Amino acid sequence: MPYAADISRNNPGCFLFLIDQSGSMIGALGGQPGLRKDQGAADAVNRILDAVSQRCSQGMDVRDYFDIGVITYTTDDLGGAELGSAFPGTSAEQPFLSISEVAEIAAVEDRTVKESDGAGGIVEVSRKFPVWLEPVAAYGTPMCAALEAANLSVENWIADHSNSYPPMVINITDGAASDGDPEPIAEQIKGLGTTDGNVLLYNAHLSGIAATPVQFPSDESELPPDEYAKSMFRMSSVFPQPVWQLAANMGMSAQEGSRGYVFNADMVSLVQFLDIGTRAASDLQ
Amino acid sequence: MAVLQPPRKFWLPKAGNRSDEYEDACRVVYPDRIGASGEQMAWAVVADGASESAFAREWAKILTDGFVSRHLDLASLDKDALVEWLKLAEDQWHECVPWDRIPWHGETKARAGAFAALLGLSIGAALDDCERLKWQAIAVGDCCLFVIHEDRLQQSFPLESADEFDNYPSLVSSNRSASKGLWDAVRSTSGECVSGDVFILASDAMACWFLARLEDGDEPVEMLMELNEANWADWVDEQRESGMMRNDDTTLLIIEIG
Repeated sequence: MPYAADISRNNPGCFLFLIDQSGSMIGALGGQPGLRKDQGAADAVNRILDAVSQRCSQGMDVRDYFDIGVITYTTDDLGGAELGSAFPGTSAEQPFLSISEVAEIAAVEDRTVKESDGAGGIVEVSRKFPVWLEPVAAYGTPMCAALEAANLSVENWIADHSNSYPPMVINITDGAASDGDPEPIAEQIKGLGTTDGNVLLYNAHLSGIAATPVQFPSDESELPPDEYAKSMFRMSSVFPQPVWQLAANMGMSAQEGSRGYVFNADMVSLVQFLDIGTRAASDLQ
Repeated sequence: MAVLQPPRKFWLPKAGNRSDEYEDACRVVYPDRIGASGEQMAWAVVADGASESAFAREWAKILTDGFVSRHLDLASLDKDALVEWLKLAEDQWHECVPWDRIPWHGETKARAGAFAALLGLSIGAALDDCERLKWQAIAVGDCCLFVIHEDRLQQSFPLESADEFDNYPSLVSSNRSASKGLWDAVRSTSGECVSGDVFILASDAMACWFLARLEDGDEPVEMLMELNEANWADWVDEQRESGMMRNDDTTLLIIEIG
């Protein structure tokens, strides 16, 4: 059965995040005036990297069950693609670090948060918040260039991990590509695969308006009449059975045929989306 | 008086993990002979620490050490007795965690506590019959006991088919607040055994393999009885590579009544 490979040090999983850092990401996320889209995307990715680090944490160590990359994309002031990597010492061409290295390089902030004291009261406690990705918003949206880089780096990763759970590429963006039609490159990425199945490409479309997100649609008719949304829908992989079943079990509207796409994502649906994408592979034994 | 053959214990960490990352635990303690008095009993236990939780290896070891040294009366076990028994284990776990040195990624998990599946077995004399022994077993989660009589599976406990295994078994927690519903998850059973019977205790990957093979018409008892220290690791590797056995910490304990 595909999408069932065990995750282990010998056969690690792979997550690659593509983060749109174009100028329009400065806008408010999900109609929340206090939260910019670039901040929301950075917070969501930091939370997911934190969650995956914690899942792989055992006692004092982090076990290398995953390789992770974060490619950022924007342009220079002349419109040329500017691709980067959130992890020091890596690049858009070679973006991956093992999860123990990812955990090691986190900038850890102490924040005071309010928590339940377990007896009906609230107490203030100090908690550690790891940060890898800072918010940035400037210039254009070279999504095609970012997908090309993803295609190359994932292809290289698969060459070394041909029996692993297939890599997941998760693109977080708020706008149309400024460098062409991304659909053909998306098809190339989805055509890559390991012995356990094809690469999964998911897309989160951030919204600037307060509207109900369309989560994991299975048909274009569920989308608003927006060519860009339809294109992103077609670019997105159909959830494998274990993934849509997990999403459904967690109370989300997912079914057979649902795609890894969320339109009009607000902060809640963005975090849920990343959680589903990464959790299906990382529920460890 | 019944004689127990020396127990045969086998274990192997998940492929890719080191021996010191093995998070199952297994203990067996018994006298050479059972039946001279009711106090001479055998105790055997397998625990499977959940990798999703912190310091699970330590928790599995504390539970199994406790099971063979602080004996529970399995025949009349109630919620209060179990809670009382667990208190010392919880304290031991808290003492072994280096709270002041835990890195940021381990903090939340450590606060949530460790979790483990547990299967415990006691074998003692039947008061009215020197030919038969009585046994009791308790389980929380998916470690399994298989009772073999005349080379056939007589009882499978607590799970009975391979499709009952999933990623979300009931577990014993080192965190008392997470153990509130524990009693509802406790399963117990009992029976009698005679000379020639075999008890097989297994953590989930091995137990699931056993039931799947049985359902496919194979002879898993025969296959397990042929295992020895020399062929065990290669045999598990073969099962894993062929997709017959999940790549997970693997533990097997075989006890034969002589």
